[in-house]
Amino acid sequence: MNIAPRYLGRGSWLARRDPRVLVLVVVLFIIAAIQVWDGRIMAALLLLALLYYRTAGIRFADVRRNWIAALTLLTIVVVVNTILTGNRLEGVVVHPFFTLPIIGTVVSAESLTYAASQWMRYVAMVAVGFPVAFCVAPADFGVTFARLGIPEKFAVGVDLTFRFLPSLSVDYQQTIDAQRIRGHDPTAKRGGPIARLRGIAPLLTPLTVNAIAGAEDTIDAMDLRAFGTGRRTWLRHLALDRTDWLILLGFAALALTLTIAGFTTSISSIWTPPFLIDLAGR
Amino acid sequence: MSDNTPLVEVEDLTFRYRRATEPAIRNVSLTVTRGEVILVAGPSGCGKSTLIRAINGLIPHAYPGELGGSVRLEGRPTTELKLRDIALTVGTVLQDPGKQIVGATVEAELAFGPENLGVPRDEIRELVRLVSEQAGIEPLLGRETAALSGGERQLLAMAGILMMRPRLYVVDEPLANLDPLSAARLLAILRALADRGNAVIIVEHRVEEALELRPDRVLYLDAGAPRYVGPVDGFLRIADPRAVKLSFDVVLERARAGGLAAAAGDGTEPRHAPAPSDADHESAEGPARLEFRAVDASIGDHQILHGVDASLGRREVVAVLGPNGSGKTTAFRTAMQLLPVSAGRILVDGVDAKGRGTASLATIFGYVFQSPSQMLFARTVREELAFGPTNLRRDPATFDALIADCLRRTALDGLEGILERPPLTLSFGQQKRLALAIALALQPATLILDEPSAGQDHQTAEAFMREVLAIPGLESVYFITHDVDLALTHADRILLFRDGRIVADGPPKEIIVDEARWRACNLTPTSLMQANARWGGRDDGFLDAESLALRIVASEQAAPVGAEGGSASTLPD
Repeated sequence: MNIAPRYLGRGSWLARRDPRVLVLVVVLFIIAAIQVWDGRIMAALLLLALLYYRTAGIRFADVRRNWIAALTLLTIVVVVNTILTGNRLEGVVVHPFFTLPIIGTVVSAESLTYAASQWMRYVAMVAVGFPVAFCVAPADFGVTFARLGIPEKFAVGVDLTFRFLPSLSVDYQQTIDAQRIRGHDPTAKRGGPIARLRGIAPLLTPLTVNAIAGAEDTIDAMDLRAFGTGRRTWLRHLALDRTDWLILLGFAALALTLTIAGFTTSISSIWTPPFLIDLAGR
Repeated sequence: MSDNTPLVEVEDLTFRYRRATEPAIRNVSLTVTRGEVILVAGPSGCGKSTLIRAINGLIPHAYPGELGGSVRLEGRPTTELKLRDIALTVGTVLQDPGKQIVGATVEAELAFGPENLGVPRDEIRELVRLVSEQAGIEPLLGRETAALSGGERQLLAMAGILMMRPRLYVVDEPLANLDPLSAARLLAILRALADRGNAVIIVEHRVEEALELRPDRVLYLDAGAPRYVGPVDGFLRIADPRAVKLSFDVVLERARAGGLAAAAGDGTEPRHAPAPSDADHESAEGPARLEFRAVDASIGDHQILHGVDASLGRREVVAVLGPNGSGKTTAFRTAMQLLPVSAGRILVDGVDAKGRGTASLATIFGYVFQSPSQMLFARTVREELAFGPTNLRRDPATFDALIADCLRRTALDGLEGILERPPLTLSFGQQKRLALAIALALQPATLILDEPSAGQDHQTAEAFMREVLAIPGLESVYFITHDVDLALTHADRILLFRDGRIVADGPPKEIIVDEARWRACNLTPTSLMQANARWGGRDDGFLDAESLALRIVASEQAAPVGAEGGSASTLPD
């Protein structure tokens, strides 16, 4: 069966907003953030994102693993994309610290600043994005996307996908349990990465077969209740209140301002703190 | 359409699935009119689900294959109708309610059908109110569907179909996941629907309970072909009580008429419930096999077990009964270290199980999941059976003999090429037996079975339990079930769960004495229970229906009628 996603922000100030606000804020914030390379402005955006995240009322203990996964992934991406490759620094006067052996990339005050700015941007995006996963009521995903103008079949598909992933996780755990009761723990920490992958490989067959069988049953159940055969109504009525409008206008203004500033000011350029340049100079 | 027009006309229906070599159903004809209730019965794999798919339009719209004959809804062939149009006439409740539920919350699930039909929002709200009252699920409003118990999901799936207001209700094994009280409620809803001029087709293994629906006719299928279509009386005369679970008075009448022995093909010796071959019930010797001491356990934020105390012996057959969601499975999952204990202790053979790990416990307990497919992953049956012993570092030289033995004990050895077959290509019943063979390959002292009869017909479930209890070398069996008769006839001892606590623990005959407690656990007295209470010997265990009926007939033949409790043609209330 499908499992509801974790509605961790239930009852919070952000969860009481029209769910379309949460989706649109992500879009507007990304538009704003991609204009900015100046670390000072980016730090301000990160602060804004964290304040916004705080209104979601999500306990850190409940999402610690999600944060660890997200921060690990984005840190790897940033390090590879900035420090290791020296990307985006062509034509910039740099103040080098040292040169990386083998690959020969220069690590400089500018490349570190660039990495920090990139890292803050991704963290801010994650902070603004998490509430969509955890502060939208499980029953509201479909209507939210439908009311944003996405085709209804696709909107219901998004709704089911949000619930399919946790249910896949339940199936995964059951399959692991089935092996543990036969004396084998595929998740036990032993051997190298290849040994661990080999340990997990036997799980894929039952997991895939069960997922396909489950999906077929869901399709049957939806067909039998006339899904996708005509224009549908949605029981949930969404309406933006004054606070919702204020939030949307605020983020829209931010996106617009930073877009204009991106063309007219230096916020799209890397700003390197003087102390870092001094440090590199020594 | 005239009221005389049949709702459904199935005419000489034959269907073969695209990749199958044989038809799943052959030459079935059935006409259903308004106000009728049709019971479809038959053993597993008899073609019931295929018939349902043909009536609700999934065949041929979603399942390609070779279709012969016709199915007409209100005079129009289903091949010419769209699924949307069929859904307006036919409402289907699938066998597994969990797979039917697509809404994240109870309201979303109820609204899903009317939303697809474009029903106005206010009208849907009014329908939600009316249907939730009708189905008795008002307390569930506002809850997430993922948090519902199996029985609650079943009622919700039914309510979701009521929201569509179809004229024909097709219900596939609605009682399989329900405790007896919830089952009675659902049957009452179906009866009321028929009385209001709708029609109901119900597919059910639990025939004894389904007959409370007062069906007008019975379609009895066997191996894809109809064996009987007609009134209930005629069905009761021809049905084999070992294949279909019938009420005890019917079994007794059949025994008196001599039909039972003929059907069974054996003599009149009563067949007592078997027990582990070397069971001597000396639970006092040595520490208990499994002991719960004030155990609390939670899933997420929801506490499931509240101070469970129980001591299960080394040589016992223990059945665990209780309402849906009462903590039965959770208790054994904590015992196997698959779930953590939040308070209390669990001892295995007198030693604290904490820190032992599931793999270590696998040498003592063979655990068979409710769903066998969750246990199967290997490419062949041979690999599947060798997986456990390999992990336990047993001698590979012994594997061939061990595997052959496990297959023989579970009656799988007769299947051609069984060792090289992919496990997931076996039928459900065969997978269930393979799951048991997998557990036996670990050579455990104790078996834990979670719902051994789920998804199996009466005959298969009974045979399965008999096979299990006859396995040499097995010291004890603990099994979780909703099948009251299965529990009473096979167990030495019953644990009764309610709200995460054990509310009763003792021999079957003692446990059922307190009827108020029995009913408080959503259990109802079965006809076999009542018959055992009236005719069973004081020191005997519970007898199954056939054994008890044959014993009564034998005693009646040995003594003048009326000498032993008078005429036994009807059961006491």
